[in-house]
Amino acid sequence: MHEFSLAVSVVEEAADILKKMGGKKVLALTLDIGILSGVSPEALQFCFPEVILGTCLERCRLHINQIPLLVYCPQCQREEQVEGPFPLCPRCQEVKIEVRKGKEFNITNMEIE
Amino acid sequence: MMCDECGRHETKILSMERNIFKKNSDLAEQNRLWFKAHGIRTINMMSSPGSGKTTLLEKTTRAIQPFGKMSILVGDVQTEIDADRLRNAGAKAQQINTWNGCHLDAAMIARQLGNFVTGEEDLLMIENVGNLVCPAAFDLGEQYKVALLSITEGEDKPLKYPALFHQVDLILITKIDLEPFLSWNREKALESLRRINHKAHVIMLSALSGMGMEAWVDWLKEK
Ligand SMILES: Nc1nc2c(ncn2[C@@H]2O[C@H](COP(=O)(O)OP(=O)(O)OP(=O)(O)O)[C@@H](O)[C@H]2O)c(=O)[nH]1
Ligand SMILES: [Mg+2]
Ligand SMILES: [Zn+2]
Repeated sequence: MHEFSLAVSVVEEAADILKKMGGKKVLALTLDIGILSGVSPEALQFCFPEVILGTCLERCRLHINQIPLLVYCPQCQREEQVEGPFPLCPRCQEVKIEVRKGKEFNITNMEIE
Repeated sequence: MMCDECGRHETKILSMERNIFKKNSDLAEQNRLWFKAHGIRTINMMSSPGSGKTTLLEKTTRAIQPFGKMSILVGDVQTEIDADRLRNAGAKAQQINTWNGCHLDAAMIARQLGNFVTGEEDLLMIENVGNLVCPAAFDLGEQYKVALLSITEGEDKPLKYPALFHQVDLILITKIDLEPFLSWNREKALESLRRINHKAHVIMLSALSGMGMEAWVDWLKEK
């Protein structure tokens, strides 16, 4: 499954950071997941406990911040937050917009010991 | 900070912005440089299972022959079936089995460079695993992304998979020969595509009847 392999990548990245910081365990992890990233937070949360078994993230708590779409509309000349995953301006329905947020898949915070 | 559980030893909070896709995107960037150095155009074809990727590539093999050298990498979870089909159609094709994965990634492509992909090609076509979710997140180092949408899938498919349809350069509406038999609404489909991706070029075609194949081959030649 998609999120299973992504969860494995998350664990690898986190383990890498932990090693560089000279820590022993990751206790908590926060991810930013954009609504247009192609990653499902529910599915990731679901397979995470299985993926961390036997790793330095065992029993690690996972927090996920879902990042909504933020678009810049050249018509309205302003940034607008969009409900849902459709990249268009919520004020004027313009489709020629620039996506400024909503594609992230980042580790933003880690608690380690 | 003190540990929540035992209240004795120290814990540390780290803030960062570490992209999980970075390893893949770095590798994809290397692939892209390799393609550029060898003058190869690479195209990543993505769609639901059964939208007609292999059939289109079979037909493309014949159509593109006079214009240049093409190789095909084809991803599937299991089996060599698609690569066999393509070789029977006269193509130079190599299967990549992903086993647990449901998409190709940049490392799988990198392993083929200098091996199956010799560097003498003008065009490298990559048939991704039939799936509209995962391939969207993995850059392979291609220059262009193409999505196929067969008219049997319904008009609002792009709205259900915005992450994929948003980022492609070309959308092929396939199996257009079936239009007389379906209640498929062309205007509605184009409208949902426009909402997700106003920049993509759209070509309607049928690999079966040959309708629209010329526009597709022209697009390939242009690229
Ligand atoms: N009527 C019609 N059928 C088509 C056309 N193109 C493909 N098909 C049929 O659709 C089915 C699936 O086609 P494939 O080319 O195998 O699709 P695919 O996208 O490669 O499938 P996966 O690799 O499994 O994801 C086959 O039965 C094809 O004969 C077309 O233009 N018209
Ligand atoms: Mg196929
Ligand atoms: Zn606007």
